[in-house]
Amino acid sequence: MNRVIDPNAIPDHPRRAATYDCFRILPNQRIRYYSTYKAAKLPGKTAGARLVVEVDFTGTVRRTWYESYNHENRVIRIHPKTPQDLGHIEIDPLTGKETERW
Amino acid sequence: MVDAQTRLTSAASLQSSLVQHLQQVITHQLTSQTLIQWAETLHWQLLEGAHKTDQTPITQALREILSDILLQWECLQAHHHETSRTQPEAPLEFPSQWLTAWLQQIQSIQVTPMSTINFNNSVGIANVNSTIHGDQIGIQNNQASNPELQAVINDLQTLLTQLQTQYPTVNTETEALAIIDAEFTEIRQTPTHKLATLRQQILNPDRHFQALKAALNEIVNYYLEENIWGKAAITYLDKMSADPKQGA
Repeated sequence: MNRVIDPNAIPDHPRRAATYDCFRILPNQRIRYYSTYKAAKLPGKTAGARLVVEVDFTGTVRRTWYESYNHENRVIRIHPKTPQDLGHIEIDPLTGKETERW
Repeated sequence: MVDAQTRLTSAASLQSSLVQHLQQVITHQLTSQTLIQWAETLHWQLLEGAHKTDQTPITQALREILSDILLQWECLQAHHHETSRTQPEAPLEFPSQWLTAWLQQIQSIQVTPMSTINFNNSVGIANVNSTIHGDQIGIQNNQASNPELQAVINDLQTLLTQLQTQYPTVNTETEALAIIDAEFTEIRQTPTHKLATLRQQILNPDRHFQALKAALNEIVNYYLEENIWGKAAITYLDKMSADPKQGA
């Protein structure tokens, strides 16, 4: 059963909230922390990227990935890093569906 | 509990090491890919590892710069993926002007003690951090007091990072020890080896052994906590000190 958690009850949350740029509480008792957004230095369809760290209710990091955005601030690519590096996964920004892996 | 001075020394060492790595990429002694693998490990240590509670200005600045390096690599890879469909495949490297800019940014970080940050107060709002710009902070050379020691630290760290990348399936100290043994032998036998300072230390262990050991301990403490390569290297040096012929 999904249950929203109190972030202040999660170990290390105050430190993470101060370290990361922002966070989002998920309905599955997890929190996603988003690192500082960095704009791409090269022109192209990728406007910028950030690291995302997902933590469970015990404060344990469960997975991390890089998230890249287009100029409409929509996610166009993810790159799962842990627990396993799955390479780059292109996402259709309108449907959210995977379009390519490389 | 790590005291403020230790944190400061540690952060200055990280700063110096990052400078060294960037310089090596600029001079083509290291590839951008190797830099990224090393930077990912260090960034994670600063974010969620041994240095996660360190909020000194220098550490915060290092987090930002490393984050920029890693995220620009993501963007660069994507750009390369898109353009390489129509252009011949070439090894991906950071543009030199980016590397130079990061280098200048890092070298401009001032190492100063900071006031204590209280993490007990709950923070629930976003955007609590701001980007640290290089021109906001002054210039101060605060690298390791012994330049030779710092050079060995950098060489050793480069070597261990390369081994970790080159042999990802090695998971026992015995295997790592055998590889380190072979690697050190090669360094000894190659007069033009790029890890020149480390080579000098290995060739003259009687004189340099303490510096070598101190350098390795510093790396293991600050970069490679619970790392099989760090442990194996310490074992190797212990063996070298017990058997002087080993390093001759």
